[in-house]
Amino acid sequence: MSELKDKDLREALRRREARRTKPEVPADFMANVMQEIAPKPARKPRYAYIAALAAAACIVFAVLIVWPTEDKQKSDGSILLVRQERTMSPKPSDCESEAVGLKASTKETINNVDSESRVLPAKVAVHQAKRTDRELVEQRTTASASDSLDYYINKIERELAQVDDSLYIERIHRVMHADERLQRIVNNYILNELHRDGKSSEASNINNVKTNEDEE
Amino acid sequence: MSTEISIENFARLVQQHAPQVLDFTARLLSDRREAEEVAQDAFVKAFRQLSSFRGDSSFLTWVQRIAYHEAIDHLRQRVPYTVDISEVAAISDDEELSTGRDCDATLCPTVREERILLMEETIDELPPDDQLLLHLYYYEDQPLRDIAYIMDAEPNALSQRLHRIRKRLLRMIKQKEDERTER
Repeated sequence: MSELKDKDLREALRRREARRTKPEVPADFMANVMQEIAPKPARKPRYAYIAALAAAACIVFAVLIVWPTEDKQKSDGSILLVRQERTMSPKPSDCESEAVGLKASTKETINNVDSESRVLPAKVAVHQAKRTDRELVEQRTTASASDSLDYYINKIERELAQVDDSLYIERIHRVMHADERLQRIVNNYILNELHRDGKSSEASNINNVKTNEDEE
Repeated sequence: MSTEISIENFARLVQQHAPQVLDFTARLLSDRREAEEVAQDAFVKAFRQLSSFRGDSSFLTWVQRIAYHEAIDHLRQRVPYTVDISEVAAISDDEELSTGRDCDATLCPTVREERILLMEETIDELPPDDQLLLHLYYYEDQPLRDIAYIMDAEPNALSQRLHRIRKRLLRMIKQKEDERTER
């Protein structure tokens, strides 16, 4: 019975197949397949995209160059401070060197405090001190040498008060070294003044002798 | 077969096998244009997946497998495939199905002829997937292993499925014969 069924089934399928019209491959079948699989030409770079990128880069560059000084101060307050000190100081070379020394020491202080897990309070304190310094400098546009010296002494005192005990000795040595240099500058200044005074007194003595001789 | 193949060689393969693949997809998709689209997609996919072709089967069988999945995806998107539960239950309950006539077909050629005609009609009413399975197994005499590869199924599962289709077919034929005798 099952064999017969198979035969019937096969026969039915055969007749069905004979009845069926086979689909013909359309003319564009190959072309469509080939179009899909053909390697597509490499896309040209989009000039609009490149132009937009270049414009964006230019804007970023311009913003970085012409950014207000306020922002620079935010990132590194000491740089602005030194620049402003240069403009107001009567003796630029001396003050600059002092400022650089102090700046370096301030940075060291911050780094060391960071390493000792006292980051936030120390940083905030130093930042606030710098801000007040800057405000002071801005107020004193016509400062004298003594004013400048007072300012630095005050600053050193403030910083020493905040410095950790482990760094205190090292900072004191730096101050002493700076003081030695200052002493040398002062001594040179005094010597120069004395030398100038001596020359002028000699000249006046010579002049006095000459006038006496003429009178005689 | 090497997976490194030039477009020209692949074009030759497409030209050679396009009629069979198109015929294959047309069995599953009644819409001719849809069948063409699926056949084209199958070839394109085959070209892109050439690296995964390991030569375990013939190239045609491999493309047919891709085409089968593409066509089934189309069918699923178009009409959700549903099976009448009551019908399945009825089939499973009937262990022995006969054509309803205890006449030997060799002795009653008219009866056999009538049955074959009914069978032809009934096969057309089966889901396209089942029609394809019957065609591949009983008409093209493809090995069950190859059909299992195309349909992504286990040969045993396909064997059981064939058995179920035959039972269903016989049941449908019986119903039709009963309807006709009632008339």
